Amino acid sequence: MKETAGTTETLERLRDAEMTPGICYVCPWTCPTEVYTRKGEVVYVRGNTRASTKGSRCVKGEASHVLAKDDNRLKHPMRRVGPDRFERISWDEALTQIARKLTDIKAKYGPEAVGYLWHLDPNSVFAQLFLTECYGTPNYYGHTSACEQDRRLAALTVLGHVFPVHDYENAKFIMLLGINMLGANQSLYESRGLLAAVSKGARLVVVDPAFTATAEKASEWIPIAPGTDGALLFAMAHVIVQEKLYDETFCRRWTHGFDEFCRHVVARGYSPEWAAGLTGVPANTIRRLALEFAVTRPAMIETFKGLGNYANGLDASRVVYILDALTGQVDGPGNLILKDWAPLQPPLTIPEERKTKPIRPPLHVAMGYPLAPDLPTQLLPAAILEGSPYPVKGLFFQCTNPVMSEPNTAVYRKAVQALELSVAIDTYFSETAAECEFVLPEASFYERAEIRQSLAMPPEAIVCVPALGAYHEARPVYEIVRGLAEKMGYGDLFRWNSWEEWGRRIIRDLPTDLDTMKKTGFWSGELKYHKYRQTGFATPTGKIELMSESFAKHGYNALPEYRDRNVIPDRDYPFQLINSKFEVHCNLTTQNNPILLRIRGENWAEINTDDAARLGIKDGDRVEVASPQAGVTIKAKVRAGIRPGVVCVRHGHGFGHWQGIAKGRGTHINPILGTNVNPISGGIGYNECKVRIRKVSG
Amino acid sequence: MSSRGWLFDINKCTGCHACEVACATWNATGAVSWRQIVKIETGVYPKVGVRNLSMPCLHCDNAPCLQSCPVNAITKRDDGVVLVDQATCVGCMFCFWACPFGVPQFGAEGKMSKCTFCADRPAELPRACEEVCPTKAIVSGEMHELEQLAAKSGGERVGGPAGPAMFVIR
Repeated sequence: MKETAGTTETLERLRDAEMTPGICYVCPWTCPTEVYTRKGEVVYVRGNTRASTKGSRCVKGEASHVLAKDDNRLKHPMRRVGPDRFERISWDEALTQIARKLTDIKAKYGPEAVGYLWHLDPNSVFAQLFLTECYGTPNYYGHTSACEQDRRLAALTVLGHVFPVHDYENAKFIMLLGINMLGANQSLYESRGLLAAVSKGARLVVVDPAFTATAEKASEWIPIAPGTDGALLFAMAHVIVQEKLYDETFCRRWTHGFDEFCRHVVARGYSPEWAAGLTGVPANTIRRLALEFAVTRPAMIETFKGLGNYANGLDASRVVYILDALTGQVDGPGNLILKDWAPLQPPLTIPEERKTKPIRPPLHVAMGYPLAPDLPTQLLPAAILEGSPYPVKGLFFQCTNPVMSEPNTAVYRKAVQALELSVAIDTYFSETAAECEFVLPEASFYERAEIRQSLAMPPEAIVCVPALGAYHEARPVYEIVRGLAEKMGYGDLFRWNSWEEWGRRIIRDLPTDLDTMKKTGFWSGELKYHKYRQTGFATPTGKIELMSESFAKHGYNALPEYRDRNVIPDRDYPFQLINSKFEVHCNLTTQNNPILLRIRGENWAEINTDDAARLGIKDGDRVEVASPQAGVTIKAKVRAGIRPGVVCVRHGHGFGHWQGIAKGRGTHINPILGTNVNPISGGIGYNECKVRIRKVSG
Repeated sequence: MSSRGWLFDINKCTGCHACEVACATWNATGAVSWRQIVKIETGVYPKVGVRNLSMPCLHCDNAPCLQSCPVNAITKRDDGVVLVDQATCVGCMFCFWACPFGVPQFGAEGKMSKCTFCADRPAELPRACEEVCPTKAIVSGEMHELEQLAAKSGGERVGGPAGPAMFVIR
């Protein structure tokens, strides 16, 4: 199965090293890699240059070799015996006790009282199959409400696609709002495409209150007032409708609600002059952007998490895709790509007679969010602490850290403490693990097998072959779930001699075989454009829904509306607090890496030069950032590249419980955030926060 | 013997630090970094601009570090690569003061270390930093070839009496 590629022959240091295809899972973009090992040590890793992601390898991935032998990782199962006190237990003890509690909870409250949450989801499909089909809870969820929940629901309901990707390289006009492609270091093949387009002369317009790494390369930076992107987008639609710049043939054939939407934006008065007052962007600029976008082919408007940081982000995100549709710029070269997925199958099948059917609806439906593409996690504490909408008594946390990542962290900590069963499955200890009864060490992507979808433009499956043996007692999720299934009478369904057995079942419909994939690391299909011409769109009407039938069915406005964000700065709290990522960290998962922590060991609050001068704040001063709820101190970074009246905090630092080296470095901002939830998507409004800022010390 | 050096495209660099980490990983540089990444923001809101620099050793023609070293620990190979022999280095830091670019690094043992142009990578392979660079902002090669590449995009050689072996496209 192992092969020696050209590099190993040329590089003396890699002579005799073995190559195994891998998947870098340091962030959710899961880039395929080639891992070279010798005598149980990782000696070299590079991006898989033959896969469609073309050798993607970012700073986080490049530093991730540390995982293979980091002494700070979780080494064995533990049980909590008191605040910050854990005792080592065996896997058998842990699984026996967890299984017993699962059985008790099911008997007392029903299986729906148990849930599973993940941030990174390697092999989570095994947990999903066991919990949703055998145990009988529908409550298997990811982390989307803290991320691109609004964008996802917009893409699903407007375009009928869960996760559009980008053919930047062929685009001639690109407008990005609330998405920092070049600064987040996630989908690098897309980042390279974006830069290639710019170097070929494409117009790149970046709409963001902060001058991001993407804005650095842009033709134009629009430092919009935070949370008003929807107004700018509606006004662009208004211009396109009034000037009849839409692609009428496309709209009549492929969209639903075209006439209604056109009348709606005019009747509501969503004009550039109206939007200028809200956004701070001059009406003439809005008109010019609308014209440029409408007449340039190919063109693309896109967002990601940014708009969803406000409670009005869902309808703003819908208008992003409506604009792409109005001009017929969908799924063609240089457009958003409604990616085809590889036809992967589940690793195992649960026979009908062994399944347990849930009685209660999934939590998100019971909470009143039937369209939410993922759990509105801000409402989880109410379910745990008050039994509303129904009791939640047991939770698994796989590589997710809501006690730190959610707003209102104090409430979250209390909720996790109140659970009858709490299980953290992770490679590292975390704020959430610290409150859990059981902490189970998870194998890293060097030690586990996986087959999953890639996020490249064509349909593509990627494989991770274990490159190393087990790290202490850490186990992959498929082994953890197998152990649990055995304890609960489902062992016969979760049985295999090697991972290749279930691996072959996953790829049984691919025109390849596992031995080939274990050599190359991937299977890639053909990239096709304009697939909707054969299949239509996966919406209720089979068309792009400018007027959403899904929304109408659930009693929401079928046509998007502009609303102000919830929290607007005032005299006492004159700044809007926004947040962004560091280029070298992924959310809360990489701070314990010594190489990355050396580069970014502490976070900061960015404030505009003029605001800082007025407040007597110099670059590097300690400042207090206080919301009506609470205040924290943090280092100030004074810069010209941020809109006045805005404070931007880089998130991901300020660990208090973490055993590792990141403990005590930087400031955790979430305790000052209140609960703000999009009323339809359930996404978290992280930027719905007004603050005041004052110098504490120089 | 022709000389080797760098071509760096500022327009392509996003300041992501991948080169710094790839270098530290391949060369096991420990607590020091052989590439310095600098983000320079200029202008007044809303007319701002940012330039990202990723600075390795520039393997200068007339290397001031080499000339300043009192114990002759620093040498220049025939292919232009400037190297330090840590067994000879006494950690006096004269090279640090002599270098116009702040390249020499001093770890816990006090000996100078710096970019070796990935001494163990054959010339036909990319340097570790170059290999990982997501945007291909870093190119290594023969100086006469890099000169032609740079000229196509209006790039110029970094100036100064030391004769730094780097072209920059800005």
